[in-house]
Amino acid sequence: MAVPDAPDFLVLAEVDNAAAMAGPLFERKFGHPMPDWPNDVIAFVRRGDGSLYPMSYAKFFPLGSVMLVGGCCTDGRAFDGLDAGQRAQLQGDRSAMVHLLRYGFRRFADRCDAYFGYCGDARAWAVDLAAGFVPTEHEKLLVHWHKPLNAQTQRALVAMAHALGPF
Amino acid sequence: MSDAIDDFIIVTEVDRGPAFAEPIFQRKYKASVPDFGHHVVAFWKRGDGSFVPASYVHFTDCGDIYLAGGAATDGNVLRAMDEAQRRALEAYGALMLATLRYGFERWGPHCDAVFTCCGDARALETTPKVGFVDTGVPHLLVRWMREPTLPRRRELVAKARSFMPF
Repeated sequence: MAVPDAPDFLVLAEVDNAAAMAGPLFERKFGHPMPDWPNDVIAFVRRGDGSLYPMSYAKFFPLGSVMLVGGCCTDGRAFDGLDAGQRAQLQGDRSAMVHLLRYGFRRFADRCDAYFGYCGDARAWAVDLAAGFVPTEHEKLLVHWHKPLNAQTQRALVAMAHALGPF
Repeated sequence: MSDAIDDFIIVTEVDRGPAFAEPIFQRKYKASVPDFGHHVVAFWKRGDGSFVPASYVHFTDCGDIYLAGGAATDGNVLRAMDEAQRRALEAYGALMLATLRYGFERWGPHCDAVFTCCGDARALETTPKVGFVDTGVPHLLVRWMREPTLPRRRELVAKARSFMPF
């Protein structure tokens, strides 16, 4: 089922200086500073006073002809400023992370042949599937195909991503 | 930027300028933010972890030159800052300096010059602080990023002039 467009109060963007905006969230989740690699996308919640609170973050790291999607994290505190109706709009397969991943898939579509994700968490796995990732034959490794590729090329890209190990 | 404002001012390029800067831009120019890159926004970082767009400038890639335009700052955001922040910002100069410097650092190495079009007396007080100089063309200022020859400078000024007003 197609995911509806992101609600107006959710602002999705690629941000150059992401560490200054989502660095603390990243560090809380992963225990180390955000790596200084491109490309970063952030989902901000726009509050009633016009301020923007970083809710979700993801990195789309180019590696050869593919992009590795990682560093995904969401700040639960971002929900504090939302009313019940807004919260309802970000439930299940319409979460901020789902919208953000799909935004990244569109944003970087002409820069790679496929997107890979590596995920060991059941909840995050469900989010990844909702965003458009599909499982590969390798445990924890997901892929999102956005352009027509022949089966051999797909196998080669999956093998390459698998060879990287966890990312 | 400056240690004094680094704590509460975040300058960054964003891919979706209108989503962040439309109100600021509309207030000043009664027009919409350009729908093409590059968009530089200075955000005020508040104590609660949220960010408020405070200043905006647009950089247009024209190959060997860049055009900086559409500079606008939201005075209401500046007034909402605390006393220490306002003092630090005053000492820094103007928020527009931060967005322009960001652009120079980011795109300056890729071009010969950055041009801007400026007729506003207050902005004209600020532009020399970031190295903009007169071109001889009314309202057209340039910041040379390299040391082009005089004939080359004339060519680039003529090219920039062809885009006016921007």
